[in-house]
Amino acid sequence: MERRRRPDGFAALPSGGTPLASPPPGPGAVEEGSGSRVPETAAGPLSPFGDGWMPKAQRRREYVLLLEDIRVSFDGFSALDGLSLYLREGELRAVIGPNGAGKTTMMDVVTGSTRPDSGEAWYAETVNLLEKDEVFIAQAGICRKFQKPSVFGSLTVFQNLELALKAPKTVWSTFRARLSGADRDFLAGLLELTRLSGESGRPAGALSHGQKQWLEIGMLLAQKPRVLLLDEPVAGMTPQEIDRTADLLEDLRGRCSVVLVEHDMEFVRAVAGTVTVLHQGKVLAEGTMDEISSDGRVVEAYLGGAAC
Amino acid sequence: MGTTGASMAFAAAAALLVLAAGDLSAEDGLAISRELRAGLASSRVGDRDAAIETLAGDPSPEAGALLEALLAGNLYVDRATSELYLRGGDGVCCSAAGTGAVRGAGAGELRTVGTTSRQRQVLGGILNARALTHPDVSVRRESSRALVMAEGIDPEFVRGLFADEGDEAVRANLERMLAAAALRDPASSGEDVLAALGVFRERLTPEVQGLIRERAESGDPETAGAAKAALGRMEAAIQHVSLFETVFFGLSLGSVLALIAIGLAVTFGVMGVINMAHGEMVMLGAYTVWAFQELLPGRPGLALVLAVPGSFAVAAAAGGIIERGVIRFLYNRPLETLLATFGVSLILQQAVRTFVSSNNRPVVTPPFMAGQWHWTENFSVTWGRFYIILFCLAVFLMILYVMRRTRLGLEVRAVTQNRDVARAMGIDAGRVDLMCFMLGSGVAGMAGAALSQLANVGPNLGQGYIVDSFMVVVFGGVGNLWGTLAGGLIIGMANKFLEPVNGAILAKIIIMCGVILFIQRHPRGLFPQKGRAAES
Amino acid sequence: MTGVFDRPTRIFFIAVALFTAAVAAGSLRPEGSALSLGTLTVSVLGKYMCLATLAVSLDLVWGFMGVLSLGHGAFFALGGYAFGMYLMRHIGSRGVYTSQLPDFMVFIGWDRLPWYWLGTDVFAYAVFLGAAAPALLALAFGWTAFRSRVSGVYFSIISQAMTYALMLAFFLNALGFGGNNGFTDFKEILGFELAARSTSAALFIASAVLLLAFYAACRAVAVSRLGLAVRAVRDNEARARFAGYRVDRVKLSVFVLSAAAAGLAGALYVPQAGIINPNSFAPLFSIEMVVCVALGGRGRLYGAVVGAFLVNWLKTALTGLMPDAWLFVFGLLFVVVTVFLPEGVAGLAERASGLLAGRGKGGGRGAAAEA
Repeated sequence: MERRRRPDGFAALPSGGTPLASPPPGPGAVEEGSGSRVPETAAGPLSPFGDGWMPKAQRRREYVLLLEDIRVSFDGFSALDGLSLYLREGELRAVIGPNGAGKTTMMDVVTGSTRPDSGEAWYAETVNLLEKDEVFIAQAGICRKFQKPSVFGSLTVFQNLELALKAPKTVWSTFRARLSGADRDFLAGLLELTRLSGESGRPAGALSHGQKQWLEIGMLLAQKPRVLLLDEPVAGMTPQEIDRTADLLEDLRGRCSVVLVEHDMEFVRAVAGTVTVLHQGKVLAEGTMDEISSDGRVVEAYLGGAAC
Repeated sequence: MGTTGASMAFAAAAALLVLAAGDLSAEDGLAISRELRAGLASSRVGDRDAAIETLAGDPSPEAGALLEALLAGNLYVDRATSELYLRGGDGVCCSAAGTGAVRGAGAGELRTVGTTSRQRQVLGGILNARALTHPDVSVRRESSRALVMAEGIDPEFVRGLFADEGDEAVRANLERMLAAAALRDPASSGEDVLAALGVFRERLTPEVQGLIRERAESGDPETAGAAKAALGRMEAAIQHVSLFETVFFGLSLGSVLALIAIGLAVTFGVMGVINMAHGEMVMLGAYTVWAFQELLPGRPGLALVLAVPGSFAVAAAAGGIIERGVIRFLYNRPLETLLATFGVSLILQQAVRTFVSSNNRPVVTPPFMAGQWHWTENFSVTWGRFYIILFCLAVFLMILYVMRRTRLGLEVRAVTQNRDVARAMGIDAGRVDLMCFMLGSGVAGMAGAALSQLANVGPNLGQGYIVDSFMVVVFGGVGNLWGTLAGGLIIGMANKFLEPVNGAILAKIIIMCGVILFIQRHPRGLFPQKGRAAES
Repeated sequence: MTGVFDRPTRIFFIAVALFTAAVAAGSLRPEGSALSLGTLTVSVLGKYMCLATLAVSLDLVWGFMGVLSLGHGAFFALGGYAFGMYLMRHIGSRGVYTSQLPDFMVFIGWDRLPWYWLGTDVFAYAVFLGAAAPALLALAFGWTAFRSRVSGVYFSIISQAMTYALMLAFFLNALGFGGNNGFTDFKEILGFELAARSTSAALFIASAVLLLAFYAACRAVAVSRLGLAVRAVRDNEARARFAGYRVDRVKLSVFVLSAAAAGLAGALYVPQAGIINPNSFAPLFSIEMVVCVALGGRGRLYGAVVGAFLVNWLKTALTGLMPDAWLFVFGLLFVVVTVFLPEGVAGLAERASGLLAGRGKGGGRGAAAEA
């Protein structure tokens, strides 16, 4: 019942798996594989109330994830100060910013872990994120990877993926759940994608740091997400692993929206079309990596310190 | 403590009468006769009853000694000759017949003279009544207080005592004894009743109230009106006083609870360890007081003062051993630590039962703790409770100082917030754990020293308070000293406010359910700890 | 993935079945003959069976889900009291006061049964109550606790407070459960004399059946995806939530199931022990069960059974021989098991057999991740 408005899932699989459902068509929907950037985004969100701004209902239709004027404060400290973010279906958006800029808090708001003091957050046109809890939001297709790799250490790699698999998740249906042939193929594909096929029977706690990161990404994909929130996915990975992660993200482009919070600028440059810079709880700048790095305010706030 | 006095007092009633009557016959020079000795040595209860009654009327010190020995189980009979022997403090048994014959203790041919529980009650009463004439003032004060509400005392006898008594406190008690007798006696004149009501203006115990109420209901019209008026005045005053008294009792219980809980909070905050043996640290502290009083006989006050640092040292040492011996190996496994420390608590309790005694140990309340502090006409509290509140506050401030202003406190806070970073900065986390644990245990020991003045000192002492102090910790919010203090005072106060309304057990249940519900609404307690450390 | 009846489970079932058959046979042999077992021995073994069921129910929530309940004895005791009401009703007028009311009610001057005693003379209802009352308590307690995400040591402490509060409450005469003395002097069950040898044998078999049935149920949960979810909750609650599981409901379901089984075990325990009093609510009893599970090796189910038999046998033996020593041994057991044997006896045996078989199977089954 809770999942009545569940968006159609899609398989992140290069091969096999369940058939893809196409994202709901809407005005300005992203053309599949249309290169590395989404043209309209840079202009839109930065001038939300300017000329030609679309009406609210249309905005909700337009963007799969929409945050408007979100404010969060902890004990007087303002973590998010009027943050607005607009994410299109299939877009890969990098969010960067110095520590304390509000990146993690933003994710907390999207996943229902933190309730903002004011603002609006909509998902898939109809889901008011501020009224839903973490579990509902996760089941609805917004999946989050934590900064620290978090997997179920005492379960095997395969069991981790099985558990994450998109399925009815009430207690009773979980008790009755059996893996179908299609499920097995899907999970096998995920194992291959995350290069964990050889580790399928090992307890996840025994994996290396990088492998855990991959497993967690695999678990998110098993949930067939519509929006992926990745919090520093390449932290602690070797250069090769980082390259492979970049390949994977490239693969997802157009099929699932991704919000990528990352400190690794090279990685961001390699994968992201649009980059949003947060500073002191609001959007400081938005654009391509090149536009961002030539923006004086951004350089002052962030890159000046970190990029050199 | 007052309730045990009541049953004692009842038994003492008969004794006072007998003693009064015996006073007259004392001139006969009644010695401890052969028949009397035979009566005591008899195996029949009735014979011994008769002998006790006769002895009660004998004011001589020999009779007193005999009664005391009988009550303490120090009176023996030779199986062969049926002669009585008294065991002295040195374990040597002397003949009660004054023959000077001496027997070694534990000799097989001696058997103890048994007493029934009723006889022990009567004996207690008799000895209390005899103590009214004891040369030592403190003994007279003690016994007169115990006998205030005793029924059936002989007013003439008490009046005689009153005339000879020099001590104010004893005189006051005797006066109340007489007043109670006057109220109780349906034949006493209106004047006497009015005077009696006057005496009780200041002492508003429930028993007195009951007496006056009886008077108001069933007395003759002359005094009933006065009694009713007195009752009305009293009730108004009592409401005030009982409010103050409840607050005060709540404060003293709450401050002890807070003191126990602080130690728990410190160890939990730093190590994430709930020390289930914490209650036994309290118990050890209380036993330290007892041990010091045993070592310094006759100087209970000095012993108590010395036992305060002593109890800290004993409990801290025990805590240190527990930390080094058990908890150190269980770092990062809080649930296992909880189990292991519970095991330690069982061992400590059983050790006390086996090596000391499974019975409660007598801890003396020194005179400076026992005295009354009259704040207003109607409101007086014992100095003991007052000192305990002060003591707890002082210890609390000391801990606060250690945590906020010293190097150790800084290190403790560093380790609490982030153990790994603290360690990287050169703080020896293991040492901080140890110090913390010792500090927490030591404080619990001091709480035990304070508690020894309020509660019975036995092997289960800690058990009785540990659940309460857990409640205090979680209620107040882990890692917050002020929260712990507030939690302790609130729970102590709630306890004392609910007790008279609902009874002690129900009060405890209500508080426990209240705290459980509170925790479920506010999982981090009254004053949650801030920062990321609390998230993990 | 093996099914419900994997190899250790099969071995366990066969062992329990053989043991039960042996005891039942022994109890039916004429008294005095070789291998004959007296009612006392059979009752004691039956009590162990019930305690083993309680231990398994505790292992289900602690070993699998990582929720350490220090108040599980409360569910056991509640089930015991529920069924105790049935036994009290069937004393009939054979009590001291020859009244249809239980003696203690006559003693405190009640002239009729309170409403919650209604229907307790019906066997089926009493059994139902034996499971339902603890389940209801677990539902109420767990619902509030899990919903507000009370976990770890906090949960343990408040569960202990719960059983402590219940103990104090059951000491009250006014509650209508016999106060201090509880229920005792039972006469018959379903019309059979409790003192009869055949009755004690039947009760023993019933206890064994309950243990096996509940064990199978636990296995069914453990091998299902729900079992994975339960262990996932233990490993990383937040991740489980973000994987779409309602952690509070998963916990609550397992907790309630466990409490109901504990209650039934208590219900079967009472006729065999012949008494139930508020001491069954004592925190120490609950903790004793925790030690059984820890000693046996948690997260394995059969470990809990082994632990329950070991600890209780030790207790019976030692309290008979030197009562003083029991608490020392018991206390030491806590320390030794937690410090040196975190995986319990079963873990030790598994490691030994693993070494013998020469396969180092990396398994983190038992260790609960608490961080």
